[in-house]
Amino acid sequence: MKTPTQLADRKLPDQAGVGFKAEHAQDVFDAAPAVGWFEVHPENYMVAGGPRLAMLEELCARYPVSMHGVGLSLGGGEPLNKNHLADLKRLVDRFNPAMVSEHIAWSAHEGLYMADLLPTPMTKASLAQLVDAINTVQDFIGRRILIENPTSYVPLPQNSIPELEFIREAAEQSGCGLLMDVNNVYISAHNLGFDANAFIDAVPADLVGEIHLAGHERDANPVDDVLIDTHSRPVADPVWDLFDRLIARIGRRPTLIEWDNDVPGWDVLAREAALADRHLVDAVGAQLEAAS
Amino acid sequence: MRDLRTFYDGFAEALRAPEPDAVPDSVAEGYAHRFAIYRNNVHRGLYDALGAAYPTVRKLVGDGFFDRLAQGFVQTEASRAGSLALYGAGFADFLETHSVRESLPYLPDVARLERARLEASTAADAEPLLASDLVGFEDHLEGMKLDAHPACQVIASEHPVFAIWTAQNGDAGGQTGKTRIVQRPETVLIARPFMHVEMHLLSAGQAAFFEAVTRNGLCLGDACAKALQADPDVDVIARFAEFLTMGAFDARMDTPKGNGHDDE
Repeated sequence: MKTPTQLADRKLPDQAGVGFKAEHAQDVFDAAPAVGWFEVHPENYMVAGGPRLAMLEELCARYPVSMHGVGLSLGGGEPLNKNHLADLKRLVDRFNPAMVSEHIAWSAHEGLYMADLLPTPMTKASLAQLVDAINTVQDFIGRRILIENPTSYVPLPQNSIPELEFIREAAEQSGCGLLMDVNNVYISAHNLGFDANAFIDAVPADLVGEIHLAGHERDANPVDDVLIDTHSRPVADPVWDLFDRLIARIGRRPTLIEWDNDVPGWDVLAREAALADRHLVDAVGAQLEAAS
Repeated sequence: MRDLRTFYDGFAEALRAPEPDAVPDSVAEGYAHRFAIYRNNVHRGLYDALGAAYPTVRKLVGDGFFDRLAQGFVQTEASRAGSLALYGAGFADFLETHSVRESLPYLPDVARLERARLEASTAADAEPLLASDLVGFEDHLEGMKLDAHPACQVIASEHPVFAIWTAQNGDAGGQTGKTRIVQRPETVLIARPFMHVEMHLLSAGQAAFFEAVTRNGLCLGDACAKALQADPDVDVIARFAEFLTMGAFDARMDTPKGNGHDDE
């Protein structure tokens, strides 16, 4: 077994990883599957002690782990919650994850939390706030983070900066990297009516540190055709196509299979991760062919 | 900046609004059904967090009715943390005031038991006091004061909460539904000496002893007297040994004067 020090020095491998679920812990610890890495939400481990943290300890001793936050509310209009930042820093210091990431979204309003990733308006003022928030986090935990592109359901008329420009500016001004959620690009393009291919083709390669893939569902409302980011199904074919298109241009990246609702047995997730690995290998082949 | 403030205020207000079709001004017209996706996520997120914290209450009332309870509860307890790991602290008190109590009078205490289990499961790691730690202190036990282990709690109920919990979740052998539930008061000790949450039914004498030691700060000798008052037949030495086996005391002892070796 690798020692924690060796793992701590390692970055996430350019392979498929899987979102870690407590119900899969026994499968993962018993069978030691050949998965490149795992991702956890730090919020689930913001407790004083006990079996949950012991489980994370065991996971970190066996695999590179990424901490993907959902509760910092980086894109909100108010100062970051100091307790939350302190909890995050405690986890980062103790477990030394291979990556730390968060969302371009907000969830806190006047100190109350709303348990969802709400849309950040894209204007000059909100960009300045987002950059401030990212800088605060990076300074506080002493690490560069990645920020994830949002899922959009509604057009916000006040937006004055196109999404890709907004996230590129945020990354360039704060020095953070991008976590490209290809499923989010597909959903947002569908819901807001922009060209997903053009978006993927314009993503700045050098800023992308990680990719997310997940399943989505069609909303049941009778009024119009909306896709929802449910993380409850296999990755859809058009999302695999966008993923292929992205990695054929920018090369391999650590790629996560996210599955957070209606979570299937471990074998289903392992197969989905193996499929992502095959896409990653094929993309390199395509790149070499194009170069020769 | 003022525009931004207005955006966040309006969005948050519409999310919390009880009317299912409330939409903030900042969202383009004609998108009420899409805004509802956010509202649904926000509410569903809290209901699911509450359900994860109170799985037995959920089983007892069914998923549909649990959601209705959750809908009422989230109006009374907003989350003040970006993590929902410990959300729902006030759920038992909420159930105490809810009409569900008329048909299921034991429900608030089952919720208390589940909350104690969650808190035990997430409490700081600490060494429990073991019988071997007391070797050499035999002559000082009477004057010794002990603290409860940080993960340890006692829930005293007028209802058979331990039997109800066990019927839903299985006993140590994994059997569910086989427990005969007799209407009687039950006092349960919840402990997590190492990495597993365990529950133990306490007798009146045991409960009086443990309360005297850990809540009233009495020395073990005086606590024995309390136990005997509550239950004249209690075998205090055997019961004390059982608490050590349960991991109910903190290993950080308030050591009595002397080190147990008077001749040194």
